[in-house]
Amino acid sequence: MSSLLLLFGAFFVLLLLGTPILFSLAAAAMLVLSSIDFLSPQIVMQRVYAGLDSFPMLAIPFFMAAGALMESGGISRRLVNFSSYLVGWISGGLGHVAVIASTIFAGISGSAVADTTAIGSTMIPMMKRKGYDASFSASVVAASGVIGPIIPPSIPLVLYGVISGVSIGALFMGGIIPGLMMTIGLMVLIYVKAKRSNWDIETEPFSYSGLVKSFVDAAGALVMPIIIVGGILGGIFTATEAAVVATVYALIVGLFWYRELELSQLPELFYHAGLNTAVVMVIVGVANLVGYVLTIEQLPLILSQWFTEHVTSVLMLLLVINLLLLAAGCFLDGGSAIIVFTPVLLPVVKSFGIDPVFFGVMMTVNLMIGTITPPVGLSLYISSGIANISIAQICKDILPFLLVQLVVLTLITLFPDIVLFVPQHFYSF
Amino acid sequence: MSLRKTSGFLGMLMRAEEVLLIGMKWSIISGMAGMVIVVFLQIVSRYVFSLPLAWSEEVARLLFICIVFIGAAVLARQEGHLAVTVLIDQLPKRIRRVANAFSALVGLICAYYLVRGGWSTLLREWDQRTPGLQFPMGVIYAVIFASVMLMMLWLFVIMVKNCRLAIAKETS
Repeated sequence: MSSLLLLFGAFFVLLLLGTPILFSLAAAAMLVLSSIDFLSPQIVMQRVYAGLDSFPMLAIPFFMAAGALMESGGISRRLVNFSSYLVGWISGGLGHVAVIASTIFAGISGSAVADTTAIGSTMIPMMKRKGYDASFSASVVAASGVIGPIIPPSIPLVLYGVISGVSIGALFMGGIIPGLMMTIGLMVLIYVKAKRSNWDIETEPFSYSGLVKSFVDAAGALVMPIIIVGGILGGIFTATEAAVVATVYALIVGLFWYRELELSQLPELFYHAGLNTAVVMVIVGVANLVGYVLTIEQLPLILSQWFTEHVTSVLMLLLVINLLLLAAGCFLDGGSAIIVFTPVLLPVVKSFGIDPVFFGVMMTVNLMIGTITPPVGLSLYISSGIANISIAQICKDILPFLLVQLVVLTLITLFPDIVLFVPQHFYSF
Repeated sequence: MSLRKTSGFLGMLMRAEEVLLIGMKWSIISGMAGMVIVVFLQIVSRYVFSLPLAWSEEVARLLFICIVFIGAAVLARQEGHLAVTVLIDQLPKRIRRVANAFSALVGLICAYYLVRGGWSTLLREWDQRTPGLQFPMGVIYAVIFASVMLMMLWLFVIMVKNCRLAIAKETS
């Protein structure tokens, strides 16, 4: 137990001092190793290397590249246009459009930040122009961004899958229903808000011809989620292969169909996708060193025993874990939190007989809510930046949306079958 | 920036760094493109020609590892590694600089271990060849060693910079 305290104590102290997460983790692990005379440069290098040496992890750069290619290829504008004909006529107008466009984009990109940036840069200026409150617009976009990594593809779920050894395909399928629940929840909230306060903003016009036209125009983007989900569900390819197919598809659509992507943009796009991959992966590599420390100190075992002694029911355990993760999500970004907490929590969860697929999705839903909680909520920063409003303002207006997300989290925690329904009935793993 | 105007040894170093960073950028870009091509070929080959490739996964994995290590060095230079800065952002400037210097020192120690580990692995695995393509692993370990070495150097520079800023008189 003392090694566990040293490990997490050193990690959190360094973290609060502003030391990059990767060095905080590495230094904490090396401190424990040196305290038991196990520290050697070879072990450090080997462990970091082994943590990176994984083919399934390649899904991360591929999904990042695919999302960036789609975004530069003129997808978000077309999605917004299509969503506008689809749901813009409902009371609440463009609020619903933002939610639906984000949900569809969630089937293309695997991160909340990408989703918020892509939809926000089109939606927020448009909403402000039509007279929607700036802070409301920014809140809707930030809250819908949470859906991005929950509906497949999902970078956090890839991370969880590789670290835990659980099928990434099954995890992807498990995210579908919780993601759609968030979509519906947010739309209900917007509808109620619009009705209650008698908005005088006109809703978007509806026309069948407009719907059909915008659908055809957006078809290039709409096919992508079908390729990803269909390909994995049908057992045609793995998540990594689905990701590369998505990248090639996005290239073709951007270059030859919409023709808004230029060849000269590609190096810069690939460079950023590569760097963004490195940002996440260095932490994965170092976390493998931490995993080594955990194993030789048998910390998961000790932790499991402690939990079985002190926590009596599965529900109690999940409640404790959810609160812990929500607190962590306020400060850490979701991907890092998954890398840090999965090796520690998974053995505990397994010893309680909880399904690891369910746990992965629950953890992801929980930590992605962290993208809209202060003080560190990336999506909050992005969308308030686009809307040109203060963080304090959006923090107040995001509350009802945050509440909706928490209701979804509570529901899936109470009824794990919501998550497990699709993987169990439509996907054999 | 007056980058071009700096003359002498320092200017030479700065230009060398510039060239190095461009080289690293293009390594990452070609690595990414290579991964996409190789893995896509793997699928095409399996489905269209019913011919599973033996080497594609290996190549893609090695490219991936190189991208991550090169990227880690570039990110160290750009001070772009993920960190939680809410707390220290509230502190006075000077204390923040001290904290930044300390963080760089912690990174430096970690990088030092990686450099030493990278060097010994390089020496040990120099003749090792990959099972699929018989590609020499020494090349991969050389890339890793060079990357962690650069990361260490850049962290040292950042540490010195923050120390100097912390003790410098408030002028600008």
